[in-house]
Amino acid sequence: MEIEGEMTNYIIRRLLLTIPTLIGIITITFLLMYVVPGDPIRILMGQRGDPETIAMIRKQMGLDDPLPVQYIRFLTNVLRGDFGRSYATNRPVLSEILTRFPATLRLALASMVVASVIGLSAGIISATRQYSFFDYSSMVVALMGVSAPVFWVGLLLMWIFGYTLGWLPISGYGDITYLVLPAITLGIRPAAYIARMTRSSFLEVLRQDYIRTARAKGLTERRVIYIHAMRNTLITVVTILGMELASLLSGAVLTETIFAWPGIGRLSVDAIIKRDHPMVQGTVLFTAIIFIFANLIVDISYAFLDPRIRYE
Amino acid sequence: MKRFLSVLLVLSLFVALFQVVGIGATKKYGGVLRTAVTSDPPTLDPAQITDTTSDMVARQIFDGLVDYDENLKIVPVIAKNWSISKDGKVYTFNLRQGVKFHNGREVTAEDFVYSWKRVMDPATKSKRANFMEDIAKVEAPSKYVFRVTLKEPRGYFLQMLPYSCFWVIPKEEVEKLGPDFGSKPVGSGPFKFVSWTHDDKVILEANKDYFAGRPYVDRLEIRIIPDENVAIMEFEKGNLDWYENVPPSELDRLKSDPKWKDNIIEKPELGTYYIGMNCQKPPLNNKLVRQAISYAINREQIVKVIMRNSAMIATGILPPGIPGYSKRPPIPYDPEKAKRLLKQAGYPDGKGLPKLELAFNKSATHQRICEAIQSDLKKIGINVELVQMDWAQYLEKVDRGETQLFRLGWIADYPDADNFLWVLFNSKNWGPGGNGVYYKNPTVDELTDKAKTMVPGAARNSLYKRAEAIILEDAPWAPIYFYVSRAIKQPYVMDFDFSGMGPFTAKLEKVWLDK
Repeated sequence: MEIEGEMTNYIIRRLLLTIPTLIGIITITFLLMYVVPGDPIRILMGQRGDPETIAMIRKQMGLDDPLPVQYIRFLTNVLRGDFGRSYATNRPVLSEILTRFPATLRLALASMVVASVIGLSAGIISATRQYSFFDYSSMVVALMGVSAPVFWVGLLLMWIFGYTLGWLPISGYGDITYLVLPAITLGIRPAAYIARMTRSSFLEVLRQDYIRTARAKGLTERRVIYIHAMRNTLITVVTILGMELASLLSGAVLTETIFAWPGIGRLSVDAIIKRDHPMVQGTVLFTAIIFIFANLIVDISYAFLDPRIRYE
Repeated sequence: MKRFLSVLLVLSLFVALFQVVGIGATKKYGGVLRTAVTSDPPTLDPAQITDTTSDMVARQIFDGLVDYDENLKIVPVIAKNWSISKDGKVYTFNLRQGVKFHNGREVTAEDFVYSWKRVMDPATKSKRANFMEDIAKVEAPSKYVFRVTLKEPRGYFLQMLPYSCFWVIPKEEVEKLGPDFGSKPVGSGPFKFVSWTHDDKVILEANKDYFAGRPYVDRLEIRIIPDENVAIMEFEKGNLDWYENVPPSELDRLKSDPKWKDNIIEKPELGTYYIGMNCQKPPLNNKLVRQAISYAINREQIVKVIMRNSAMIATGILPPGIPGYSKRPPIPYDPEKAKRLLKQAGYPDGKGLPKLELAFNKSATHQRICEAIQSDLKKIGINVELVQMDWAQYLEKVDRGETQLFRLGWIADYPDADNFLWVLFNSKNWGPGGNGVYYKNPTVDELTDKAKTMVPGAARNSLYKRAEAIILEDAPWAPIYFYVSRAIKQPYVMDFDFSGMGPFTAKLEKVWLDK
């Protein structure tokens, strides 16, 4: 009961703290977009940018107002839940983000499954069979996984399984078969990372006294590893998973581009290229909120994984 | 017997002939025509379109008064015919009766008045409002007569009309949907809008009531595939029926493959890739230095090695296909002449010349071309520093005249020499309007101003030929290559063709699938 109250207080405090963080992020993004050279209207006009038309559109959009006026207008709109319309497409920013979110979420979750299954199992097996052939080879593969460029892995998988063998669709968005290749492409890097972290934290845990005690008690090796050692290793893994998930939820531009996956990554990069201020603000804010919540969830999950952790 | 044999021969010839004609005439209805574009169309509202991707999708949904045929000749669409007043200022279009919007209402002259006025209205924030600047008045004297009065006669006016901002839209749908009209467009064209999953695909269906007869295929599926190499894989696997952005790196392979070699359609595109030289900035304000730079560039090498013959060596400013184009030999690669010109300019072997900046927007191809030019110029003693930046920043730099040497490509908005020679070289259009090289020559100004108001024909073309020759001599540009547009199609895709404006103008309602 006491712990629950402690936890609720902690969560409320953390949520309140997000407000100044978000305002700070909005302000910095707002200023950055105005400092960076490039006029959004000029870009939309292509090479033939009639100066009178540019001036007319800028005036209509209020882009010539003094910066503080634009900032206050933007902030009050955001507080009302109105993120404005994209300069490039004239579609509402929020709906543009929300229509792409399901695709991003599917891909992020699927690649996390890939990453956790491959990463955890490779890490645990490597740690329990330290210096074995499997240990060496899986760590070499993991190193390759961390260093291989995503677009290269993606194109290779696509070429083998989509183009040559024809087992899976080459690109696009659709049923689960469309998800397999992008999820593997995106999951390989965190899988490799998780494998290496799991291995090292497992090795550390396995040397602890309580593991020796557990073994001395006559527990089976399986029980020692999966119940006693695993729980303490998970804290590291959960931290990585949380951060990876947050970064995947804010879009994975390379994977999305190669596989023609309609996610948030392409949307945000395109917005930056086009200096589409409202869309940049929207995607940055969205990403920030995801990171803040992912952090919070990771912090809360520590309490379940390690009851010694208290929130004050 | 002889007589019988000859009758038999004649009869069999007839049968054979009918069979041939018969085969040629059986066009099949039905099926889905699939293609891909590299980016999500920003908008499908004709008033806002500035890019060819949006144009490609939207032109299936909308129609204008006239269009280009495959040879860039103006042909009627909703306008049945038209007349031009003697002073060249008043255009009267007689509209077809019975042309219907997809909501079932008939298209009338009032709809054209509304559609054009909407583009001119500042509240619409149309990026092509300037395309209407020559117009004094639009009116509908009767239900099927649409009249346009120009401020001054414009030789290119008809050529401009196929551009998207001149298409007709239904007022009631625009008012109902507001800014969402660009996402759920309603037009009068051969295909109706069905759905659009952003960054994934757009689906259109045949308009069975299309005034010129229903399209052959039932549906169009336009996927958005950002990576061209991936799109080519999809095409080769049979998942796309035609595709336009064939990467130059794949071209040799596809052209030598017996399956595809007869299914690649190539046409000169109305565009020129060039190195611009800021005529107001020393030492580039010296004509001799600019000429030297132009002669020092090995264009053949660029086209062969970097572009893998996917473009044509430039012979001037105007690409073939534009009325007024002059056939010339390619600008020669002559480093010796370049050296002599430099010496004449007071910079023997480049001595005394400051390091010049060659700017380009980030892209692997632009970078390779600029590197080749850097090495060419080094050979005559000109040191060049390459500066790359993103498109937004780059455009601003060019507009403000902060460049020295820069690369750009110009692709015609409409097939008329005015769109090159006035827009890019008239001193009234310095800066963002198009003349980014800040070139000024009173004779060129006079010739291009005069030609603007003349009726199309030999007299007008001769002014453009003179202007182009002067510009080439002054060398504010070193034209590098003329663009070639191309598309690849599956062997079963029939009657697929496009105009010199590019594959985005393909009339997909004429295409049928022989499978």
